[in-house]
Amino acid sequence: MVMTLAMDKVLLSGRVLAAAVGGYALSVVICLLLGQAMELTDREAQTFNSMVFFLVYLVLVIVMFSIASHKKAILGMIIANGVVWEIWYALGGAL
Amino acid sequence: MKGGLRKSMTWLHTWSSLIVIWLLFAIFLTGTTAFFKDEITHWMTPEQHASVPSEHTLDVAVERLQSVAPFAQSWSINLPDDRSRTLGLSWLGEGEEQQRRRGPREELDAGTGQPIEGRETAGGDFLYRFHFELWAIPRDIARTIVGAATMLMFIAIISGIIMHRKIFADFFTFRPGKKTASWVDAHVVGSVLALPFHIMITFSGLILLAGTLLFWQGGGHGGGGGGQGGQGGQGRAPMEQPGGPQAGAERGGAERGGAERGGAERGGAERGGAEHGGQMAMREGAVNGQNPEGRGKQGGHADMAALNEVASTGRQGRQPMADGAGERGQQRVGRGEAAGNGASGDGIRAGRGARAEGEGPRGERGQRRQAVQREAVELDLRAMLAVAEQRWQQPSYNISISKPMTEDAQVTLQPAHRTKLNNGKWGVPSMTFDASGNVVEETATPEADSVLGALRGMFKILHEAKFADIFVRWMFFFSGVLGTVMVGSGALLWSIKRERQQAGNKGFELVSALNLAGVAGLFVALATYFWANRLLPVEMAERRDAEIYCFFAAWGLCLLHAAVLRQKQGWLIQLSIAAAMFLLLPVLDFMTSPVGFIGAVGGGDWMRLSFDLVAWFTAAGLTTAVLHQRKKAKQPQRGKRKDSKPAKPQLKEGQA
Amino acid sequence: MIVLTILVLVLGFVHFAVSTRSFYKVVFGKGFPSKAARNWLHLVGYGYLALGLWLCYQFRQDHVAILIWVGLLHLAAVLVAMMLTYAPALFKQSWRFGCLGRLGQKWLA
Repeated sequence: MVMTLAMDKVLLSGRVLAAAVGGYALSVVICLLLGQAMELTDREAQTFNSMVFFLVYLVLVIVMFSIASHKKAILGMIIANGVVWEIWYALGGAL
Repeated sequence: MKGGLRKSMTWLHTWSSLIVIWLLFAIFLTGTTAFFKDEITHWMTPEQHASVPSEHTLDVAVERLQSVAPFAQSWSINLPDDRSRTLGLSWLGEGEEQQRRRGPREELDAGTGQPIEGRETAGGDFLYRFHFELWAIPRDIARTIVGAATMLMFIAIISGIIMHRKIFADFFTFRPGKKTASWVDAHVVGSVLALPFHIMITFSGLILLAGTLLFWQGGGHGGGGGGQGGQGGQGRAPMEQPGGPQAGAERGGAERGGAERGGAERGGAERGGAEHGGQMAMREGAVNGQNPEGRGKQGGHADMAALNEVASTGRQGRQPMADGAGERGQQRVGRGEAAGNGASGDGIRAGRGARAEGEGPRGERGQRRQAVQREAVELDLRAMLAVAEQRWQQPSYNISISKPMTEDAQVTLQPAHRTKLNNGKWGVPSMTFDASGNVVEETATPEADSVLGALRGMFKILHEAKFADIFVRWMFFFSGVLGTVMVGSGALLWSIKRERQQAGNKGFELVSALNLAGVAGLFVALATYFWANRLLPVEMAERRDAEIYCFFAAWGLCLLHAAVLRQKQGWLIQLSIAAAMFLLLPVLDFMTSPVGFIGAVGGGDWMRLSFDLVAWFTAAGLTTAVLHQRKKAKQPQRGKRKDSKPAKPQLKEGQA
Repeated sequence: MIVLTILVLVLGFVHFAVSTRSFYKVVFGKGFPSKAARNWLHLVGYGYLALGLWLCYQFRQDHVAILIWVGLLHLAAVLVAMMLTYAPALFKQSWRFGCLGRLGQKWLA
């Protein structure tokens, strides 16, 4: 029981971390992709990002915490990051 | 999280807000006061109180400039408007380079034309800057902290909406005197009833801080006061990612500098790259610079000067004000004598023949003047103002005149503030007249170049209430008060809910102490700040910092008190102190200002009277809290929780 | 003008308040609003709020009117909440004399 509790805490911290950092990274790449898809100029993209980034981040964090299991949430975030960044690089994007 | 969406959202709501709640409370409280920052500064500069704007203020200004700077390259006049009661003049002497330094500037009594030497005060600007840059922390770090807190706030608001079952059913419910339930209601009333405002202010706050938060964009937006400050900024603004897509483009040319991360804003300001930017540009620069293009040419370096001070006010501000003023004073005297006989003194219009015949005490200068023979050219400023008012449907308060007192004189007018919020760009339109009163140039309000830009601009303008007239400003203030109630009640709610089970527990006690210091203590600190403004000796060195130290010293003491003695009527004591201080604040005001109550009413100084009124409202709120606290203390239960609801809404009203 | 607008908005919110279970009782003493009553009250309430918007538009002919309207909504909502808590009698009076929602008698009682 104690084990589970400790484990739970670790997983919870992991989820918080995943939401904060992973969410940030994922929002970044989503913004990049959106900017590219909409063919924005750099300047427009910056304006766009300064608004949309926070909305994306917000949604991601909410989603992160609405998933029932810690493990699923953390894994999901990692995988999502991997996949989307992969797409970004595959499309020739660079940061 | 286990247990369904609502439960997980509750968890998220609770913890995302709790870890920064006291910071958020301070941000909300000081940010709410920032809507009235000019008014607060006015209150905190009692030397200004005698100034009563009148019909003749314009004449006073012109007369003064004629006698002080008849040979200036340009004049700039800031007439009193609904948010200032003094007359600001500045000019650029002959041969002085505009880029290098700002010209002399002075603040005059709008009625008599006497120069005002205002005390050195941090004024409303300290509170304003504190709400997004904190204090004594490097700017970038401070902004990142505030930005992160704001993001958490955003998350808390949205998760709060999701977790709340019947948010609209409970819309109006408020049950005082029921401990937890009343706090829940207070929290819900404070948040739900002003939800649009909260979302707007949080989201736009994030947009304003985007330059710092989105560091992958390579340093955010360039900008700043315009002009030369840029170079410094440029050099120092590191692009985090050299290839960062936006960095290069946005940064543009050198004039765009002062990039936030470079922290050049201050450099820019002090280096006086100021001349180009009007008020807006600078303020904008201070927050999240954009290019101040499309501004009146040299419109308002008076403002710039003021804003330079603002810029240095913040944390490290220790611009040697006194020195500067002294220097200016001297200059003024010298010149005044020089022009004395020339300008026959009673000129009402610009350009009564102040001729170069004056024997300036400085011979060399006098000679030069003789060479530049100036003619008496009359400018009918009133007619121009009337034309501009007709055009913009609002009066203009900023007048700048290039080559004054010559035939080539040109007058540029700008309206007081923007009235729209969909243009997306900073700045106001301007209108230029020639000496005979014909319009020679007119620039429209700058428009954003894209829908996105306009949208972002709208949020920024909303956040800063730039467009707001006095009525809208009060509405924003009221909503800000509700926001403060929301955050404050949220903080207390956490510990009230857990009081039974967790009292004594370390985390709980920590939160309780911070609640006490963060909520009641902040009111004490705020009151102390205002008291210090009036009680510290006027001629004190580093006075501005001293005021700020008082603020933090009081806050620190409250924290200490909360840490050690919170069980012993902590709330009662701190609330009583705050209430007493706010209650006596107007008394202090009328005792230490050269103008008493009757004079203030007679002169229609509503900026000051509203401050005093709000101080009383705050005191009333705090007193209710105190009384309630006493009642509760008499009951056998742990007498440390604070007021019930009635006090709360007003309690926060304490800021204007 | 502004006072009038606030008044209209307050009355609008009174309709919404009456449409909830707990405040229905304040006015009618017992019972609870039927579905039809709720819809009716909401409809009238929205009408009042729209009227408020129109009034705002009268003193500012541009988009700032919307902003003023939203700001006054905040204020009016707080006033209604305070009224319900501290002056329920006043609440009843305002329902009796200011609210067209009463015309929908057949759904209400």
